[in-house]
Amino acid sequence: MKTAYEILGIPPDQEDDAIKQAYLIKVKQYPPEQASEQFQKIRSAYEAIKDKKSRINYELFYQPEANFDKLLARAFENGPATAIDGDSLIKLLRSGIEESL
Amino acid sequence: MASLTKLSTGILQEKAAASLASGSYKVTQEIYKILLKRENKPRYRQGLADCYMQRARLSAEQGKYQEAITFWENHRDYSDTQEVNEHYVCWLLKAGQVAKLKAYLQNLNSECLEKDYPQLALLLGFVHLGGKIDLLQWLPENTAFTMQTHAMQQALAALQHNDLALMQRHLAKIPFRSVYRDFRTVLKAVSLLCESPEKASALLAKITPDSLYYPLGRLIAVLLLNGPQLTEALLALPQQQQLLICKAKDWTPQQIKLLRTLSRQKHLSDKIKFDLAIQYQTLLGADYAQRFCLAFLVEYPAGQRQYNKAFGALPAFEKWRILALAAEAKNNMFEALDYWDQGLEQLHTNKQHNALKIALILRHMTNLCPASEVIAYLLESLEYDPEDRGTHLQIIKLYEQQGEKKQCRKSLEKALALFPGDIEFLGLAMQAAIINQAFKKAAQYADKILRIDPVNTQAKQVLFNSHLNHARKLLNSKKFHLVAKEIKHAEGLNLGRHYPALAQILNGFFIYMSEDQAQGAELIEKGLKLSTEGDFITRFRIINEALLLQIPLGPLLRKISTLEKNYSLSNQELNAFIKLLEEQHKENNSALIKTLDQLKKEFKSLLKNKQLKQEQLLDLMQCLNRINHFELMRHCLSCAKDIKSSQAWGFYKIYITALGKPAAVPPFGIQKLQQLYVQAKDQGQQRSAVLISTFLEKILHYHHIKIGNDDYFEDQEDDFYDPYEAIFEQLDSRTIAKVHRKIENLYKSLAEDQLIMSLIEMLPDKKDIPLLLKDEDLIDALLFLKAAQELNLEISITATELLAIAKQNNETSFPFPF
Repeated sequence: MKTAYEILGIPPDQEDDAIKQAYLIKVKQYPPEQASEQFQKIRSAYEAIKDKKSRINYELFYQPEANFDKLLARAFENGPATAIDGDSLIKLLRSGIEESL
Repeated sequence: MASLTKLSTGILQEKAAASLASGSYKVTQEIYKILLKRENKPRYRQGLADCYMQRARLSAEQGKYQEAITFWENHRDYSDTQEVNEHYVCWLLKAGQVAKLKAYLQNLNSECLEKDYPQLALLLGFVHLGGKIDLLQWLPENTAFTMQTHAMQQALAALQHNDLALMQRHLAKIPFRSVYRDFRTVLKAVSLLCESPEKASALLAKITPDSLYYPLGRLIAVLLLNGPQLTEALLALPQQQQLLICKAKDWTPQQIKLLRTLSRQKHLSDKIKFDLAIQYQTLLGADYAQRFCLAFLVEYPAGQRQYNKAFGALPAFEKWRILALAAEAKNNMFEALDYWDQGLEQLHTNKQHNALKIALILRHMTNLCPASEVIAYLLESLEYDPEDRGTHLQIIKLYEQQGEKKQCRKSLEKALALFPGDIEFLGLAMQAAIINQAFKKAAQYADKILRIDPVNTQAKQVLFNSHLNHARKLLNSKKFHLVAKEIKHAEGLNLGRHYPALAQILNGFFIYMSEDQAQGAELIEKGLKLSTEGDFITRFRIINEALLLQIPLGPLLRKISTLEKNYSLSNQELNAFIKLLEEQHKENNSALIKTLDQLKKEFKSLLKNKQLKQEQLLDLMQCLNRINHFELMRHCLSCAKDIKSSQAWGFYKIYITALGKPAAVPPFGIQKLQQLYVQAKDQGQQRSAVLISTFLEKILHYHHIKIGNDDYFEDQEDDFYDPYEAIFEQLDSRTIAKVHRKIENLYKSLAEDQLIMSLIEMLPDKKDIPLLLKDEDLIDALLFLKAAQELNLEISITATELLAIAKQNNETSFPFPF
């Protein structure tokens, strides 16, 4: 689970102005009418850390997740699916044949 | 076997049929061999052939392919029909019997393999494309099957050269119903992996589990997965396939190493998870790994040292914070409160620096603590962060809900001193002033609000009513020269809806009283025409106004000719009337009951013709209850017979009979109320459930019964008597938790005899030592007191008093008869 800072793409030691600036940039990237779900996340993240008081509140009650599966998923995160070359496909095919037979 | 040969042919035939049916193919096979020796009958041959076929199938299922081949060949020798069997080909492939396979395929003698033997063609094409054996060399040339196979090979070659357009051209040569149709789907999906993963996934989903290409499709689909699903799918694959996927995904050696490590683990223990998170923190992201380990320490506290080594020592407060949040996540609210309290103790070491944190935690604790302690937490939080507007507002509203008028007023004053221009606080102060009948003050607040927010409707309404009320006062005291000004001020507020009509009507009353009754009545009629509230409400207003201004009703009503007598009351008008009654009651309209009494005959007959719905009945009953009009309540209930079976109806029947007095509810009424409460809760009738439970609480309170004891009526005898409970029950749960922690520490720091000695020291008279030693309850109570004293908590009880209770308790308890 990403932190509010990660959602806005800023380090955790930023001040109000920098946070607002990052928020506005993100909103431009994900306007509500085009990416409502993403926008909601950005909005919530901004609300959570927009001023000093809310940042202290966020740090106090932000609960890190003890989900090992999600942590592992980060290790194997490789962006979008990669193209597969013919050689690998033949090898996979052979492997599939072994399994089917 | 020797015994079988002695049996007659008839019995052997019967035995063959029986053993075949029971699946004893070996026995059946021997019987048929004996029968064949006696007579070469076709049905004996076929019987034997069938036995071999079944045994071949069973051997193949056990992975004994060589044996399966032999049995099938035996079957072929005895069978009259020479069918082609793709299973045989499959077993030959598995057993590596290339020579037999070659001979078999060369003898197939089929010009149209795909049509004659589709299953075999499918298998052959599948194996050929894998490239292990060139099967085409043993099959007739220039058939549709061979041509399609060539096209598929060319498509694969084009893919190898990354020429997707050429691959598509070759795939286009494959007919729709070809044996290669599923492989064509796989290749199309592969070509879409980057461009459109969703389409690729949809294509792969079309390959059914019974297809030979299904495992291949599933492998390709793994490439499209992400997150935990990818990890799960990868770990389910054999190593060779894992490595192929890793290569296709272009993974780093570290990623592959982690995957291999995970594959080797049969069970991921907490220790392994913790170790892996630390070991692979660069790959997992150092921040993420640290956050995971921090949260995981709750489940795996043994990792503390390792954590400190990897990420630095954990601050004491942080430990309690994580424990508290973890307890909250598990809904262990009291445990969470306790952890937060311990975290607060850490923060208290530098109160000035941590003031805001302390305040925020105390406010957070209100979500976890019992409702009765919320205000205390909020008030404490203001000691550390005094200007938190939200907290002030919350406190005021809580006091308001609890009916703590004095505390509410004090809190409101405090808030207004801090936030003098805050419309919400001013609005609350205005409402409070109305409730306290301080109308002048209410008008002052309304005036302040309108200076900040000139269009604030609520403030305008208050000011409007204030002007009209003042005008009435002036009329009653005959200060007519000032009345017109007040009414003009009210009109000047430009409120919409029925307000201009109200001002106009009062103006008519002013003229009626001060100058000319006929002209006044005319002006009142003009006001009535402006009104949009309906005939019944308008009549209510006229009568109410007359009563407030002490004008004789009869002559007035005779003069107002347009006042409708045969009026109706729509649902909308009834709702508006309920709202009006509520408002007038809030504003302490002195003539409200009298006005209602004047109109009750008409109101009753209007209600008789209405079919009241449950919500409407509840609205009306709650409103009439507030103004204490039981006569109308009784009538309303009789008019709502359609909903007689509802819990709301049942409740009000009991409530009205008892005139709303808890003391007047008989025992069977209490039981009935409890039944109604359970039914309302079960049926999701929240409003009825709240009404019933509120009244039940009052009844239980009246009978000095502890509220919340649901089982009171069922098992009073089961209650365990604790003589010290009454002393300590006054303490809040937070204090009790603190004391219990202290007791735990005392147990840890002192040996049992030391602990008892310290309790003995608390006794004023050493003669009581034997009593202490035999009374465990007294030991617990003294221990509680000792812990509280060490914490410097103010508990208004002494050891002497505890001892007195113990003595009294010992005197009243029955001695054992032995």
